Amino acid sequence: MKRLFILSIDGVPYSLLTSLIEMGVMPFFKSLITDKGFRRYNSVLPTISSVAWASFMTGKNPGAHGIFGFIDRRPSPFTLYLPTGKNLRAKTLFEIVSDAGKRTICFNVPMTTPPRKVNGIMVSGFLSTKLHSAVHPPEIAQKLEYIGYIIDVDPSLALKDESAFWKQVHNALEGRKNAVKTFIGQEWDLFMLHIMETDRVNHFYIHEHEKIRSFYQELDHCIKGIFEYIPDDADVLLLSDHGFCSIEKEFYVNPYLSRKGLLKFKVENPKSLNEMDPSTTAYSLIPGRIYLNLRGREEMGSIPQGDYSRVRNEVVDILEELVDNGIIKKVWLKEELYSGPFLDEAPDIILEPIEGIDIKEGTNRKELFGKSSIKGMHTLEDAFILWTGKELKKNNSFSIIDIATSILEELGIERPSDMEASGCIK
Amino acid sequence: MNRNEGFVVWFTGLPSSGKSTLAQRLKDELIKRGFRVEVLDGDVVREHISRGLGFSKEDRDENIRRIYHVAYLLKRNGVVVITAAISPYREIRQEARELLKDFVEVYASCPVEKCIERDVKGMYKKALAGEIKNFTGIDDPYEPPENPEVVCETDKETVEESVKKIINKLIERGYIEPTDEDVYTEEEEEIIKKRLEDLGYI
Ligand SMILES: Nc1ncnc2c1ncn2[C@@H]1O[C@H](COP(=O)(O)OP(=O)(O)OP(=O)(O)O)[C@@H](O)[C@H]1O
Ligand SMILES: [Mg+2]
Repeated sequence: MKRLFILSIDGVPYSLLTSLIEMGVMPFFKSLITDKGFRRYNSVLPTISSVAWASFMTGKNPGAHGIFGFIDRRPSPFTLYLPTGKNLRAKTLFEIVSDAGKRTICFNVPMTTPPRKVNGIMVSGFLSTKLHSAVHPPEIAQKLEYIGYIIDVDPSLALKDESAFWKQVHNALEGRKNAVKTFIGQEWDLFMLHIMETDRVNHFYIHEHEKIRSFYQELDHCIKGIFEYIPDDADVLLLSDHGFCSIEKEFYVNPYLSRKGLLKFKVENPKSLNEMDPSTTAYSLIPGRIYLNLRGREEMGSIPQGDYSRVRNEVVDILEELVDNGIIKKVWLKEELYSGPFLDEAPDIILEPIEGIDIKEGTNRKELFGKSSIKGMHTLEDAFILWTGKELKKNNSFSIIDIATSILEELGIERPSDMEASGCIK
Repeated sequence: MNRNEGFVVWFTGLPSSGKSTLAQRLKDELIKRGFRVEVLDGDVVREHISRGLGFSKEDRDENIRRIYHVAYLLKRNGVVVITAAISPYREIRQEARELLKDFVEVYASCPVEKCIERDVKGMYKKALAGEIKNFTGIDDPYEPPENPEVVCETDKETVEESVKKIINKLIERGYIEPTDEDVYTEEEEEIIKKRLEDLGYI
C-alpha cells in the first residue's frame, strides 16, 4: 500500500521559489522538481492560513467547513471570537484516513486546535499555547518538549529583538525536523509536517532580499534534512497555502464604510465594533469581510429581511468605487464564493484585494490608508504545489480546496460523497 | 482514565466557602455535556448515610470514609461524583484520593472572616456565641490541601470563573472534552490574541 508524506510550507509563493531557484539559493528543492509535478495554484478567499488549511484538510469551501477567518463574530448577541478547530465543522483528511483504518501523524497544521483524536498522532499548530493541551495522545507532549519542539515562534520578537527572532526561527525548524526524525519510525500511512516559520518570516522581511535569501537557504537545508528521514516507499507532496507580496499600503474598510454613512458608532472615537450604533447598515471584519446589519440575524439589526438584496446591491455599488479607483480588485457576493450549511455565517460581501494593498478593519481609525510594522501580505494566485512524479493539472486551474481528493486516491481511500475537492492530478 | 468509569471532583473548604454552590453549578455544566452526575453534599449525607455521626475527629473521618466509599461505587458505574463536604483533614482526603484514583481535589479557598460574613446557615454566629462546639474554622481545625488540582478563591472570583477553572482542569486531565466555548482559558486566549495581533491577522 502506498503512503504519503506531506510537507506543507506556509505562505511560500511559487514565484519566489522559482526566482530563488534561478539564483541557486535552493538547490535541494530544485532537485525535487519534476516537469509536470510543480505548479502555481490558487488559495481561497479570504486568503488566510486558517481558511486555506481548513479547506485543504476538508476538501470543502468555507461555506461547508465554517472557517472564515482568524476572528469571527456571533451576530446576536454581537460577540467577536477566535475560531478554533472546534468551529471547523467538517471531517478532516486525518479523520477520514483514521476511519479507513489507517494511521496518520500530523504536526502543526493551522486550525487543528484542539487536537482531534485521530488514529495516530495529532499535534496542533499555532492556535495552541501549550504542548500538553496541543497533542493527542497526551503522553507525547513530554517527548516533544524533550526534543526541543516548539509550537510557534514569538512574532513580536521580529520588532523587538531581531536576533532572538531568527534564533527562534532556527530552533523551530530544528524542532520540526527532530519531530520527523523521532516519529517517522512509527507506523503511518499519512504523515504531514507543517512549517509555519516561512509565513512569519515573510510577514516581516519579504521586502528585505538578503534576509529572505539567507532564510530560504536555511529552509532548503531543513527540507533536505527532513527528506533524509523519509522512507523510500513514501510519496512526497510539498505545498503552500498562499503567496506573498510586499505591502505598499493598508486600506481600512470600516473608516470607509463610516465615511459613506454605512457604519455608525455610538461614540466619537470607537475602539471596537462592540460600540456600533443600531442604525448601521454594514460593518467589516478583517480582511474585507463585510456583513449587513440584518434584522433577525444581527443583535441590533436594522435592515428588514425583505430589503436584503436591495441594500446589499447598494452597498456593493458603493464598494465598486474602490474597484474603479484601483484600491481593490473585485467585490464578491457570498453565494458566488461559498455554498454549504454555513453559508449563513459567511460575510455577505467579500473584497478581493489588489496585490500590495492589504485590507484591514481599521475600526479605531479615521484615515483610509496607512502603514504598519507588517511588511508582507498574502496573495491568492501564487501558492505552489510540488508532487514529485505526478502530472498535475495546469497552473492556476485548481485551488487548495481540490487537493484532498487526490490525497485520498493516492492512499486508496474512498472519497466521502460530500467532499467537493475535484482533484489536482491530471 | 477507563472510559466506562466516572471521575470524582472532591471539594474541600471551610463552612460557607462555596463548596455546595460550586458543586451544583458544576453539576449543571457536566449534565449539559452529557454526563451522569451525582452530588454528595455533606449536609445531605449527614441526614442519612451518616446519620448519628457527630463532629469529633473520628466521626468526621468516618463520615468522609462513607462518602468516598459511595463515590467509589458510583464512579465504578460510570457516574461523575462531586463531593461537597468540609473534609477538614488532610490524611483522610489522601485516603480518598488513593482509593478513587480519578480524583480532582478542588479547594474552595476563602478567608474565615469572609465566611463568617457570609454565614450562609447562621452556624458561625452560633459557634461564635458558644452555642455549638467543634465548628470548623472557629474551634475545630481545618487543614488546607497542599497540592489541590484546583484552587477556587471564592472571595475573589465569581461562581462562573471558579466553575470555568474546574472545567479547564477536567479538560486538561482528559476527563471531559472541550466544547466550542472552552478551548481556551482567558489567559490562553490573551496569548493567542496577542500573537494574531502581532501578525496583523486581527
Ligand atoms: N466564587 C464563588 N464560589 C462559590 N460561592 C461563592 C462564590 N462567590 C460567592 N459565593 C457565595 O458564597 C456562599 C457559599 O455558600 P455555600 O453554601 O456554597 O458554602 P459551603 O462551602 O457549601 O458551606 P457549608 O460547608 O456550610 O455547606 C454562597 O452564598 C455563594 O453565593
Ligand atoms: Mg454546603
